[in-house]
Amino acid sequence: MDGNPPPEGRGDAAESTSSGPGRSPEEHFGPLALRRMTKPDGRSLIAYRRVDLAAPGAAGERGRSGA
Amino acid sequence: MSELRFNELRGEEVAYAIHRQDRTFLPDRAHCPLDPTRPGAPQTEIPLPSFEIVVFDNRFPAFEAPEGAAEVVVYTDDHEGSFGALAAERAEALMWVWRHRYAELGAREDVDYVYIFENRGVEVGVTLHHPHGQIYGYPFLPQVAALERAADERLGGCAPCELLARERAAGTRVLFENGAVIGYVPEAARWPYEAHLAMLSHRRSLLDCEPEELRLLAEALQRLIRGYDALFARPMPYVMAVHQAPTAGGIGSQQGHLHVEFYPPLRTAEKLKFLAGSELGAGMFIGDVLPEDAAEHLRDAIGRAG
Repeated sequence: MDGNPPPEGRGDAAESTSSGPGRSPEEHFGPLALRRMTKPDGRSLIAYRRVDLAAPGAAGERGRSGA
Repeated sequence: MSELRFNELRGEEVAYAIHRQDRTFLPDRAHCPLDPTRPGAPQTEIPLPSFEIVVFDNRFPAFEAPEGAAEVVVYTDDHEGSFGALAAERAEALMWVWRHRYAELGAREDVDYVYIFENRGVEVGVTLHHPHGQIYGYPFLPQVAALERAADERLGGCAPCELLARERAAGTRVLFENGAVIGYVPEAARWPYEAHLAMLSHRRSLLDCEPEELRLLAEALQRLIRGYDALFARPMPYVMAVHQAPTAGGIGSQQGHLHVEFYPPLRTAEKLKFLAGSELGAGMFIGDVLPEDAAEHLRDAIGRAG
């Protein structure tokens, strides 16, 4: 069983890309922006929101290659 | 912390998570723990006034670090929503969330298999109605995943690739294709209206998919679920199981073929398919509906649902 190799550019990893005054760092993954939180009992929570890849400053897929 | 014990007669692991006995059980509408936290109201599991998609550690985990993971994936802050009713863009975003979780959990040394799933309906044991799914990071290869790898060995290659080719050739059980995904009722379906969605191209996991394939996977999932709801003119209960390559030894080190299996327990609008003597005691399913007939009914329902 030979699987096809993943096409170019796959295998992305989350990348921290931005933070602002008073804001926790926001990461990007594909078309998602995500913010990590820790709940009072220590459990983790991630809030995801879709970002407009066409919008100026949106990381989106560019975050994967570091472009 | 759960305890794992190995059942020698069946050759399978059994997890004991006795703390789950006290988990939240069908709370009333005003006390849904998956709703956003409204200003001035008691805090829910999600300390945000609104959200798109949220993933958090299960409060009542079957697995937890350093021996696996159990997460909850909340699809929307709309309590009355469902996977099928999500906006197309939200469903597509959910595919990326799944992909992100596969990447992060699969990279952990204590996670050998990332299993994304949804239980829908009290008929399959749902305890919270708010639209959500779950992710288990198993610290071992669970039995079904091992059986799929054994099928690869038996067929001398990727079993889902072989099976979807057979279904395309037969045609009688195919529900639809959308350019990236095929939907079909398996030739030997175990549940009356079981259906599978498989990537047409060999993709080991969500990480192997092009963005357009993720969009089309979301489209296929919603098309099938809406068809299920149209089948008996009621929300169809189901278990949705996302199968991908194991991650033991590192992501990309093992084979698999991304596909999604649906096990709806209804055989008519009012009658459940129960697992009884033959299914539980002998491991053999006895069907009430021929897969070819189920496929015809589902095609009609999918057409009606639009």
